[in-house]
Amino acid sequence: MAKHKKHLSSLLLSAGLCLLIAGCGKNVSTTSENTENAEDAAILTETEALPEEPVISLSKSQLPEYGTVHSCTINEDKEYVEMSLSLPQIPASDDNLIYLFSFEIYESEHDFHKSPIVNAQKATDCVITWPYADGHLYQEFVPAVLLHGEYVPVATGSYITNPEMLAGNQLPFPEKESKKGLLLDPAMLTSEKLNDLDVKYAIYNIPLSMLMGETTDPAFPTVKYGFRGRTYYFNGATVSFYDTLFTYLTSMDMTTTAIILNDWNNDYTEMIHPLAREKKKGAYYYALNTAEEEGCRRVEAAASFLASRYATGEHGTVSGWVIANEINQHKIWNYMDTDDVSYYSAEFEKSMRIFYNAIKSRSANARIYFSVDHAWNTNDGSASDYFNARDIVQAVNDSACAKGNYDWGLALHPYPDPLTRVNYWTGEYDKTMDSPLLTVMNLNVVTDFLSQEEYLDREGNVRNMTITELGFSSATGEKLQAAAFAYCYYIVDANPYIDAFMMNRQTDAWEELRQGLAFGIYDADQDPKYIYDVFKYIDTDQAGEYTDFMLKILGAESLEEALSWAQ
Amino acid sequence: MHKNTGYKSHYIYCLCIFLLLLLCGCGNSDAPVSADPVSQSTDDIQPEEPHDGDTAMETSSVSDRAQETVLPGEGTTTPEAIPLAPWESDPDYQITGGEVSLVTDISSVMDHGFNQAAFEGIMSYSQAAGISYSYYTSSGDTKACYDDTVMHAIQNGARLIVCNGSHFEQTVGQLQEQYPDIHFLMISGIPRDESNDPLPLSQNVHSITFHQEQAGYLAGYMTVLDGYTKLGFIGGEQLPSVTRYCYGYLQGIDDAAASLDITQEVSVNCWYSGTFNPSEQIQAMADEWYDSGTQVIFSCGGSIYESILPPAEKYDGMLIGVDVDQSDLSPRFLTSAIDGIQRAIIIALDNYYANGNQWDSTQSGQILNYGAKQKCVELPISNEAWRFREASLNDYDNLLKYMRNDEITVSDDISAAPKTAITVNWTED
Repeated sequence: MAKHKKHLSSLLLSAGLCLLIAGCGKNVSTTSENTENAEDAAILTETEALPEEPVISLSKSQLPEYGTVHSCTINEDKEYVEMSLSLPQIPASDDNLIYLFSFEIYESEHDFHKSPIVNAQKATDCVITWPYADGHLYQEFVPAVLLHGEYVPVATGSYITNPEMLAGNQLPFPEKESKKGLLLDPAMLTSEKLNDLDVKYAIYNIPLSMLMGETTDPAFPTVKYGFRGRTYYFNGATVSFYDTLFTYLTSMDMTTTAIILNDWNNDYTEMIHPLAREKKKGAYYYALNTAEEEGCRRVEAAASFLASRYATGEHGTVSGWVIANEINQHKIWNYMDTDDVSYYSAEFEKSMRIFYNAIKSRSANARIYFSVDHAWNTNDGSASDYFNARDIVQAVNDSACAKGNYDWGLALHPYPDPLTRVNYWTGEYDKTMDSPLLTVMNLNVVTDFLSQEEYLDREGNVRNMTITELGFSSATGEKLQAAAFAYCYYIVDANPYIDAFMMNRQTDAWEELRQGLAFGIYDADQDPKYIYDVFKYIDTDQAGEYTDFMLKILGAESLEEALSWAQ
Repeated sequence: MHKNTGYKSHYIYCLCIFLLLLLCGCGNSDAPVSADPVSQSTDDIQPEEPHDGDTAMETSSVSDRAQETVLPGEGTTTPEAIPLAPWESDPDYQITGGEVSLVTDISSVMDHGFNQAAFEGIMSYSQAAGISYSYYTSSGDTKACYDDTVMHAIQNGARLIVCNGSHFEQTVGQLQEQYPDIHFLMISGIPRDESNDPLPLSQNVHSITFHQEQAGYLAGYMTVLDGYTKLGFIGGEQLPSVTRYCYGYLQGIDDAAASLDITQEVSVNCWYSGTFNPSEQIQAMADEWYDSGTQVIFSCGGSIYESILPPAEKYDGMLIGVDVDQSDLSPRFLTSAIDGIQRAIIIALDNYYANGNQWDSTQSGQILNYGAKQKCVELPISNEAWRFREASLNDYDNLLKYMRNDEITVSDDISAAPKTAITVNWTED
């Protein structure tokens, strides 16, 4: 299957805009920086004398939805930001200007009682340009007009959507020759028990509580980081650990993904969203704060620090980032005390955009994902325990597109249900987008969903998807586990939409063992299980020697037959 | 990760249902019985009708009744609705006709011991692999009844029959060649002829035995390490498996006492009660021991713990369970010596299905003896079950590793009690 690309609509849009700006008789605006000193401000775009156009009178309630921001991008010289705005007709206002305001990500209620950053002549097609400044990556830009002495927005704002323009690291994403990945055990780092497995994609958690704050160990001095005029302090020992980890993985030619987790930290509760700032039993991680200045700035600083530190290779390179864990499980893995999927998703999307812009401004081709589990459409309308993954993807996409589409990706955890059921291939699976469950047997549910036009990325492509967590327990048989892994690997390998399959996990974890789940390649004593050789050789010419047994367990005559079950 | 780790966990487990497994039907009472498994009950079983002496092909109606499932509201012998047992909601479970079938002696399949361990092994694998499974309980303690039970499983479509315990040794000895397409997994048993002499295993038979002495050793060692010095052992019938538990227990106590240099302070009372069922005699003995200072008694067999628990509660004593984690029975269970039946069955089924529904070369016609090296023997370590206060999880881990690395060896010789520096007081029946 060739990866399906849909970019016709964006091409048409771009072409249309070009025609309009290039001289279809429409009015093209000019820009002045800092309206309070408009006469002194630099003229950033060429000025043309254009005929006046009809003016439309709109009320304050009509104006905010009237115009459309088509883009908000950093230009090629990296010095200016350019917003393209269209208005069906020129709205009547107190003067002939469009004003541009900037709002911080946490400013959900836009207060226009402040100075705009730039203005431009009103026109049906406006290109507003202004100098790029520190902090712009984390700000929303909203065009407005002055009506009866008050600024009123004329379109939904936009964030900068091409942060990659700033990136020093422009290397392509390090695609590997196979999709074999693994959640690593730090105790086995640098040992043969990792190196022998020939892992292509490595994944590792970064709990923010470990990162934040000064260190008390003089051997690992605090790492100071200046960000937007303030100095932030990061734990030297933690940073050193991750430096060592990511440097090693990079040296071993593994494409590395980090998972950002906002765990509870009594010293930095401001990083937790105000609706999640109550320590909950059963909640492992908490929603990031995108609603308040102090916490949001700290989240931005952490994002910027991690993005810069692991972009250049000096401390190792992280090429994939997963923001939070299984966000549809909002009572467990990304806690927030709300049942409002739209609000929850919008708040999450802001936090993802913080990391996205921070990361992409350093590593142009890094991939940023958020993760959902297998509960695609199972909650029967009750969001008290968890949201449907489908609803979350839809709501996050809506939020992202509303403020400037960007190339987020989706990390999947398509476990069988229940988790102890290793033979996922014998179940009946709905292959439609209404399927209750998303498993490895019906991955088309999500790939079809994301192939819909409204879900495509900036280039009109289907978004990146990857499996960042999926494992099979050996507690009920090591060969059964190995067969389940092998079959899953072959399914993913044959699916052109899925970047990688990062298996959970290298070593059995006690917290999972207590649930009767032994997902590891190694047991808790670090002894290899039957899956060891299967994992090691699955992407080699010797794979057949180690996976023949799989068909006996599956009850299939051939791999082709088995793969057909998952299509 | 979504937290559904169970299989329809809303179903409530209840032992009451097994009280309905009635005892009647066949009975060739002069057939030899050699009950090895620790938890099996063989006492006081009186078949109601003589066996008709027909061939083993005949199916016992008693076995049918043993499989009757009482649904909520349908109970016939109890006035209260009986909840479903957990497996009864499992689509892979079949009252009869499961591809993998467990056959047991007359004891309940959820006996908190030997049968439960075997059934949970089958259930775990089958649920994970999507294999249908059933169990059949013998209606009496005779070879004829055991024959009937196995034949009932075969006639209902079982392809792999797990024969739990030495009760089935002669049955498998008789059937292994008659039914070459049926695979037998013998737990703590080997095929025997009518004279009870061992027979070679056919290619369709695989047998697993266990290093119970290693599990007993772990329990004994850790108990002394935890600070206890006055210990006891009450076994069921004096079968080899029970004796291995006992002798391993003594070796573990002796080694721990030596490592702490307290051999003169440590003593153990030992007694085989001769039954796997509760009895007044057991309760009297336990009462006497606890009253005279015994701190912990290893309750080694079936449901004899029911007679040991009341004295333990009376005198603030502790117990050690056997075969499965028995910590949920009472907070007085300090630990449980587990020989690994559940894990061994999973290993066997895993290999069987990975080899295309037949024993592989390591299993076919082979007897395997599982212990620490196969990670079968253990003490329970879940938060709920870990009740040692002085001995640490690290101590336990190290002990287990030493055992696996042969840095600690536990004798499995049961021809005579181990020589020890501690004091061992034997009570003869």
